[in-house]
Amino acid sequence: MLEPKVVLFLASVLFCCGVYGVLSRRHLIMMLMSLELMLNAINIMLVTFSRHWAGKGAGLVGAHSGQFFTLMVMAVAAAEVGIGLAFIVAIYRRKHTADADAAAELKG
Amino acid sequence: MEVVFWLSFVVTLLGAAMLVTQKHAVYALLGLLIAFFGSAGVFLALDAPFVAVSQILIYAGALAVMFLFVLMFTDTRTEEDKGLPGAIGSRAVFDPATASSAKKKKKGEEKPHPLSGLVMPKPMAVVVSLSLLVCMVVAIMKLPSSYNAFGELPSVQGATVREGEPAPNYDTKSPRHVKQPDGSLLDVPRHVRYGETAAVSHTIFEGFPLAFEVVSLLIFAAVLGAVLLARRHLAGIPGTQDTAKEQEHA
Amino acid sequence: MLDLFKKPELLLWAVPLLPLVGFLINGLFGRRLNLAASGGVASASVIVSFLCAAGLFVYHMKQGSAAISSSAFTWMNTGGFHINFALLLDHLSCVYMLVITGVGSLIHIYSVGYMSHDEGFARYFAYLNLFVFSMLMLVLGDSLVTLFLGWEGVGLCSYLLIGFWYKDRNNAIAGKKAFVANRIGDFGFMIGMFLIFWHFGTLSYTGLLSQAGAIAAADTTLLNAACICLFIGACGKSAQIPLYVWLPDAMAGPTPVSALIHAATMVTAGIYMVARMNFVFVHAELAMDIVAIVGGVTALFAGSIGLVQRDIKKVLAYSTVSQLGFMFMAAGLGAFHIAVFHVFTHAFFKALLFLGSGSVIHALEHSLGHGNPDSQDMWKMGGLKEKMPITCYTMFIGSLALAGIPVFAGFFSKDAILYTAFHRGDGLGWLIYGLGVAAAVCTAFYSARLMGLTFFGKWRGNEHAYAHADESPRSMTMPLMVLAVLAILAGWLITPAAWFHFTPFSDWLAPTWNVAQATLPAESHFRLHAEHDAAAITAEWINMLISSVIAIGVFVFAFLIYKTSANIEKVKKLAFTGEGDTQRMTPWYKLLLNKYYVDEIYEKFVIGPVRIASDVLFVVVDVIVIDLLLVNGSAMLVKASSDLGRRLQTGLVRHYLYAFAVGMVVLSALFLLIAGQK
Repeated sequence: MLEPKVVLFLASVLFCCGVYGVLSRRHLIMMLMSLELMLNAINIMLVTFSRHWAGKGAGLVGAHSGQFFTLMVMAVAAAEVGIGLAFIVAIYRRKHTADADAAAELKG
Repeated sequence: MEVVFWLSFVVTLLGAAMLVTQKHAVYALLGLLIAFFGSAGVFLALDAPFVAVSQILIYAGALAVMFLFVLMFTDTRTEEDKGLPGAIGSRAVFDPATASSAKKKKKGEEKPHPLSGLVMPKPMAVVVSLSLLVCMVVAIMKLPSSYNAFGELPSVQGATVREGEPAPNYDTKSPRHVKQPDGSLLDVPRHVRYGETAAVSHTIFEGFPLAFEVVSLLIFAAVLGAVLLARRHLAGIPGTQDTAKEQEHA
Repeated sequence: MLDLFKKPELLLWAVPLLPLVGFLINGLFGRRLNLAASGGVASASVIVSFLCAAGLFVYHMKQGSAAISSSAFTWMNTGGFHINFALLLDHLSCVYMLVITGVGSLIHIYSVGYMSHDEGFARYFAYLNLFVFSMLMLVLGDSLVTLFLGWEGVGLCSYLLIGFWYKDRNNAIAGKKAFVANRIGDFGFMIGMFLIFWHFGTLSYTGLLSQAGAIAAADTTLLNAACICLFIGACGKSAQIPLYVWLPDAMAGPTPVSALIHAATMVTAGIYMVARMNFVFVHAELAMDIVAIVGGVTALFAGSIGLVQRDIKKVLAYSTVSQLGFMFMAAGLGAFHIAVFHVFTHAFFKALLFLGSGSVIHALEHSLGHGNPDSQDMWKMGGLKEKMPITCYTMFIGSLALAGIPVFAGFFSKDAILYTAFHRGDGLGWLIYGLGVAAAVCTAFYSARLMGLTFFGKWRGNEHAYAHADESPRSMTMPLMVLAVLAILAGWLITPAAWFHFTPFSDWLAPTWNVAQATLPAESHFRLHAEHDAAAITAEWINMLISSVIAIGVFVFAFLIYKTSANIEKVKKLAFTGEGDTQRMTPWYKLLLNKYYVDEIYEKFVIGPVRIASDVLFVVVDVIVIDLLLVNGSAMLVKASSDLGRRLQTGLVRHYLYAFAVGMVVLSALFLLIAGQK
């Protein structure tokens, strides 16, 4: 039988992989990809809770709101990636590198 | 279903591991793709076929291609390829003055900040993310027993069920108007099953129409922003030009 | 108009708000208006306001004794302190309202002519309108707080108008002096207000009147303290000893301003306040005695200084201080209606005298140039009767009224004041009477001297100026004529009982004192006596004869001296000893000419120590503590700590990310720990 806690565990592991990726990488595209993994983990959690509440007798909207939010996250992620990649291209054009440490102009 | 789930479980974790360990960006992207496909399987196992399909369409179809596209524009080599510190186990002190490939610094530029050389090795990232994982796992363990198993989906009272199809789970607010032989309209209730496309669309338009519209606005703004960011240097705005060329002019 | 009577509140609000509208128009758009538009707007707003006031007066007369009140909004409401922004029209404020708007209208019209050559006329009219608004708020407000609003407003306008020609440093200093002297008075006034509020829990007139019984029974020390503090405020505003010094200097402003603010209206605000709070004052006997004595001393003191001044406006200024002293004498003796009556008559003849002197100055400034002190020096005038007949004759009426010659306005009010003192019968009464008679002698003398020096005899100044001196334009002489008529007629509103019983003015005001009279014990000095027995009539005749003989005798004597230049030389010999280089002023003349050295004494004993103390404070507190320690010290502290903080700002995104992730871990761990404890 499928257990919610197991699915949540999977999502947590994915999320932490994403955190590790963001923290350890210096290539901006790699960081962005790890960020996507984190968002994906959240999506899995949302769908899990959606299914959980559907099993607890929630109505149509209540039972599907987790899935709806997943779709919203996807849309926002798409927007974010679009902007993020545009940033990377702009930085690359200026610095000739996609290294996160190259852009340190805001140093105090 | 359980088989699908466990298979996806393994595939997703493999993909994630590949993403964070692969040195080459394209391989890492491949790992991300695998993880996306795996989580699509998880969605399927959780009775969310529409989300699963969207996941594949948006992430695998659109986002991954976009990433690839940008990777082709930029330098796909990783830090290690260029002999830079930052790999697992590396204890080298990072110095942006030498690490950055934009090495043609202006003369007399002030020294790098003392803390900019702060060691941020991968073990520390491991520690941080693992402690976060511990926190999350503890939180999951603390969940009440109702989270031990998914409950049964509800079913609509008195719904007509066709042969060989699962029973519908929910009634919707928009009944079907069926024309009777005498010309009058009869409202026949419209029933949906959990997770199917019709159910999601009813959710959107019965529950969150405003959010749906706002998100379209957001995407529109993102498109404009992306175009602006990518083409700004053509307008000659200072700070968007090639540093090397700027220095040549100066 | 009759329709509006159904809504008297609207009319009531229109009275103060119309000048405010005029102020806004002139203040905001003044630069785009020409003289006619600017002066027209300003004058029209006050004239219409006067018409509204007249309408209200008629309405109020028909209504009988009921006061009209109208509340606009709740101004302050904190705890037990509740103040409405409200107007109250009763018999007392009605008199003041009519005088302010009436004399104000005439002076506005006069100003159109007087200020025609000044480039700042829009600013001038804006200030003047603001003044009328403030003064109306002062007298129409229904509580001491609203009164204080107007009180401060007129102080501000006075400051602005005294320093109107601010490019001359002396004018700016005079404005500052007026402001500071007024502030000292305001300080006392506020303490008085706090005392009253502390004890009676309200500051509105109706609220206080309803507690008249409690006030009558209250601790005399408290009442005396509160009333003395209020009177200190009145001293500042109404230029009494020791705070009178600002008023003579206030003559630096344009002459119509002197007429409106420093003679006819603002300076009488102190009398208004004392009359308004009469039901408190009558129970504070010590405070009343102080009021009367200060008034009497001021009257004589300022009158004697006025005897020797050479500046035509300075004479009038000291005369104003002296007349205000008379008013306080009456108030201090409990004859509030006589005090208000003197305010009423004085407003007309003093405005007339000031406007007349303004007319003279205006004529001489044509050729002497603006701001030339010679245009105000009476030693350098004479014989102007031939050049400016209207000004001369109207001013003559004014000075007869001021001197207290029978049938002119000043006679009735001043005589009533002296009679009040005469009638009182105890030591204080005789003291006040003596001071009053001596001050009346001075008054008659300097008013005759002013006329003689200015308009009669031979011209003693610049020939060119005399040749070009000319009668002022119609807009200036019309107000003079109106005021001259009023200076004759205004006094007939309270005739002495010895002549015939005609007292509409005091009958009108009678309800104002009802409450106070009802709570007074029977043997009090401050009871008003309506009936006049034969002895009282005889006393009145005696008093009247004494004061008339003195006034006429002194006036004629002084006039005969000063109307011919030869006599003036003889008078000069009295003032000086020796000849040529060895010429010295006689001590008495010197003392008077230097105004008893009051300014110098203040400079040495009050301002000097304050200045030293503030120098010390400046160095110790301002330079060392505030500038060095607090201002620069805190800036250096911020700089040092931010030098530390900016080291954290490496500019590297990954460092921020680490901080972010670690924070997330710590927060979620904390959350789990706290949630686990539940």
